[in-house]
Amino acid sequence: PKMAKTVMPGDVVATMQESRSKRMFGCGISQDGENLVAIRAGQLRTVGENQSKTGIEMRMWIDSNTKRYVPVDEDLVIGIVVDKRTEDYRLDVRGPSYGVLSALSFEGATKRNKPKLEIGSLVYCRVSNSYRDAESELSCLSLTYKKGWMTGQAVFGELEGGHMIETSIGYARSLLLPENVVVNCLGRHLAYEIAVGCNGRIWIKSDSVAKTILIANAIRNAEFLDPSRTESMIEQLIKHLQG
Amino acid sequence: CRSPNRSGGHVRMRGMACEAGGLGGCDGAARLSHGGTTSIAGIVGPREAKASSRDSDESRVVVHVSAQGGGGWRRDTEEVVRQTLEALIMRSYNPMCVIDVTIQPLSDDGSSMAASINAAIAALIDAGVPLRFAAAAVCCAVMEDGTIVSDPSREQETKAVGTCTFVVRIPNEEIVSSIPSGFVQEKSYLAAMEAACSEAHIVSAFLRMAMEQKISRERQCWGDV
Repeated sequence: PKMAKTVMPGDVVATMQESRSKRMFGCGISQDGENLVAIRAGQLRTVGENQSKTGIEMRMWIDSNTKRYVPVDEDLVIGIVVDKRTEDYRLDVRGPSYGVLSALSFEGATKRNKPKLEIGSLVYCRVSNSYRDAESELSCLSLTYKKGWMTGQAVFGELEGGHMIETSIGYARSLLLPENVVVNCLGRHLAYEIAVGCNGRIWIKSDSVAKTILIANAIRNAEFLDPSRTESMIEQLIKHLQG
Repeated sequence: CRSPNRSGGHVRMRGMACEAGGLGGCDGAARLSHGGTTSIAGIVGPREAKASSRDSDESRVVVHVSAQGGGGWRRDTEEVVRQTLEALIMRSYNPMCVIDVTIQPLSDDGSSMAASINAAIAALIDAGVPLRFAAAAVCCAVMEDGTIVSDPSREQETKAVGTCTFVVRIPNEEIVSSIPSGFVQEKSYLAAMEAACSEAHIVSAFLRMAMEQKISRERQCWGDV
């Protein structure tokens, strides 16, 4: 069962004594002597687990909404190429440091046949290894979907055309939920393509500039609206476009 | 809200206001007021530091205060604020990075230093910078008759024998920093320190409330992520 409570930095979340070998602590929680304390403000999440399977009774972590991204393994992010080197590219992923994307880590890429990215290109990729004190490693290889980069149907890779906007991390993550109101409501009225990066970047592409601008504005506005108001906001924008 | 003044040796704080977020170019920001004194703080970081100023174990903290006409800010007070925030921030979390803190006092009706430090702390929390503990700054003035006034107005500050801004760790009331001015007796200084410790709980609880409002509004708009 999921429970949520708001915590501030310095709040004691658990003690070592009651947690030893039973609980797993994730991001936002740190050890301070006998106590486990929150180091960020956010929602404390507690998820119970089947202890007989994994040996862990409960997982705890803190969800905080920030503007700066903290790289985490297996996050899907949108990076901007800032440097092009012989063997790899450096990408800005809105984190404390840049990310490194090897030139060959694309599906079906070989030394003779690999994508050529320019400075300023947008790349949809995953964080394969994140480090606290070094640049994180990124990859455009998918673990499940094996279509080559040349076919244009690979999951990861360069995002061509379209328009990108930046929002806060928490909001971008909420767009990934299947029941998200904005994405679904827009989909009922328009056909469009969207890529959401866990680092707060959202890329949109549709068949006309006006539609793309509408979608970008709708997504930006919905960050501060109740779900009930979001639908009417989108309907008003659509009416304005068509009328 | 305004708390009524108590008779006796200790005069309590004015009402506070705080607004988190809102500055476009920053990762975290806060605008905080004690009565008529307002300060705004913006945080950019943690982000990669230049090669010449990198520290392989910890992040560096840089504080800029843009105070027009002084207002009690000098290079050494900037340095004390930097050391205070360094004690508060968990620096080992982001080695090779720099955290830029910019503070701007907007209006000064007394206790400007405390408002500025509290704004910086609120902005750090808003930016999601990892912090070791909760802390709050309180300014206390010692008057001629020995009364301690917490969060003095400008008028009270000019009449005081001395003032001191304390940064207190919550909940165990350890003093993180003390920024004094003027000349007071030892027992007055210790009384001011005690007053600051008790008021710091209120400031910290207020910051918690301000953050909770922001977080619950986000939950309401975005659903339970």
